[in-house]
Amino acid sequence: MIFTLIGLYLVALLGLGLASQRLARGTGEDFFVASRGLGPFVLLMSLVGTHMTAFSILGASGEAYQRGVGVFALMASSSAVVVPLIFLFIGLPLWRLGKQHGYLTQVQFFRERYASPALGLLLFALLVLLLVPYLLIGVKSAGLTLAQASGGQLPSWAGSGLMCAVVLGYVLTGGMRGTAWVNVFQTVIFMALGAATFWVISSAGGGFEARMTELSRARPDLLSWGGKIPLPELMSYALIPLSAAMFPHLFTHWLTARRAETFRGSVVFYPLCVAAVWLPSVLLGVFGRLDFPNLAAAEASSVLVRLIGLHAAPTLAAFLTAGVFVAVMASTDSQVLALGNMFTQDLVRHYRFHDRMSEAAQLRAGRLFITLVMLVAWGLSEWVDRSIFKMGVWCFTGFAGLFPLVVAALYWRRSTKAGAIASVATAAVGWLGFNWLGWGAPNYTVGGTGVMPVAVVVVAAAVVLIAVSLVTRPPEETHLARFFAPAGGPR
Amino acid sequence: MTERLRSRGRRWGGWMGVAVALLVLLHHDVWLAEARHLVLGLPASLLYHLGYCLVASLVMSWLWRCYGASSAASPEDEA
Repeated sequence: MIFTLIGLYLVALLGLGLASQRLARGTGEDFFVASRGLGPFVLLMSLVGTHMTAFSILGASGEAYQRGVGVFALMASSSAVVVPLIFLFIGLPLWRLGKQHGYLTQVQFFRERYASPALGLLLFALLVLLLVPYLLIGVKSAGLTLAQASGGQLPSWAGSGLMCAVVLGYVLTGGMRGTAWVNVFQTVIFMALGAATFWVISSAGGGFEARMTELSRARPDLLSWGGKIPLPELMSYALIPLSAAMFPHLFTHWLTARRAETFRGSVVFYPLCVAAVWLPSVLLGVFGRLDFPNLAAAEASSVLVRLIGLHAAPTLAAFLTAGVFVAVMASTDSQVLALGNMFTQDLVRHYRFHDRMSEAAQLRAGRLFITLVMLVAWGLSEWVDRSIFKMGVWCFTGFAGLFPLVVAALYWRRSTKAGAIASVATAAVGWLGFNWLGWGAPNYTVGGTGVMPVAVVVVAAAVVLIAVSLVTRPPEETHLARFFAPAGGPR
Repeated sequence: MTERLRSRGRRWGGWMGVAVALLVLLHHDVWLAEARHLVLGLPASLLYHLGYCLVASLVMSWLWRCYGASSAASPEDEA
């Protein structure tokens, strides 16, 4: 039953990809940013679908299983403030600059803003490197969900592989329009099935109130964050959502907006969407302690699927598990599309390979690149055994390290090429260094102080950017006029 | 219309900073760190953070009116 439903769902996704192809105009701008013509509802749903991923469903419930309801404060409520501010103060100006200058990727913007091909290349390499663990979260979660739902009949590598194949199928046929449509469909489905899952599981065992009372008797430590989450950790976690400012797939989604006003719904309603997705995930994670008291850290990521199997009737369980599968796929497609976009624009076209390659050959090269990256993510998914939540935090730390760069590019005229390159290099070295230090210790904090590595990486990248910019020659005013309004703010 | 919106953006700039700083401060609910009692059936800290998300949405709506609307009023955006 579960495989029939998931099969039907996957066919529907491929159908949406093919249907959206009928509206295609055959241009790169149409394929990668839907001709910058999407409306507010599609933008909101696709941004939520893209940003609320396996991390928010399986990762959040698994982490709440271990650390209690404080996980909501750790990521959800900080994202509810930071991410809409990023949409407003970074997404909106980038959308405007993208429209004025025809940018399709972040690298194009930064390369021109700082007049530096070297910065473009460095950024390209780092963004691809950072996207691999992000893809890994979705790929690993898909395998985990299907393996758990099938009682181990379908090995996790097969489930992960199936997901990779379907995502590649509809992204490569439908482009951004297809991906945005699929994201809307996925977001509506996973929100509806998420509500149903929450209702079914919390109604079991005497109802929500009875389960909460039982929890407060059996595990009161899970009902507060004190003791489970040190204050420095709570404070430094608030920097993790800064990563949204540099996600290549969010950048691409911003460019799809028809008008500036299109952003309004995303800015205003994003905090409510975060709460709607994270509240059930966190509560179900802590309820999981009552039914499965002794899961190991890696197993905790599948607590939601285990709860569905325990409490829902087989037919309903099949629907709900399909809903979880929908959720874990929701952002992988945008990431894959962003990768293809970056490869085509930032390597093939920028280095003029397109002069020597036909349009079809460029497309083939782009598809081959995406497929190779997906294969790497698929291979790693069987090898890396970290929890989904920890993998997400690890990956977001690297993206957050690039936050000072985007702020300086938009708001600080005095920032220089050398400052930008030094800042990106600092973020990369910091990210890799902390990964090396914390690889064997999933709960690693800086010197055991409770401070997350993200705080050090962001501050170091900002300090280096400021210091190096101040000691190097300021950019030409004529060059800056392309990016700044006469009053000083971004155009 | 455009000029009126821009002037509103300039006038409220400082207050926007204050609102965001307050939101950041209020996120760290140290006074509920050890609270394990239930309020309206939910753990007190979780209910607080749910309310926090609602307040964040209202503040974002106000920020959009102060900054986003004036920013969106640029004539070239509508081209």
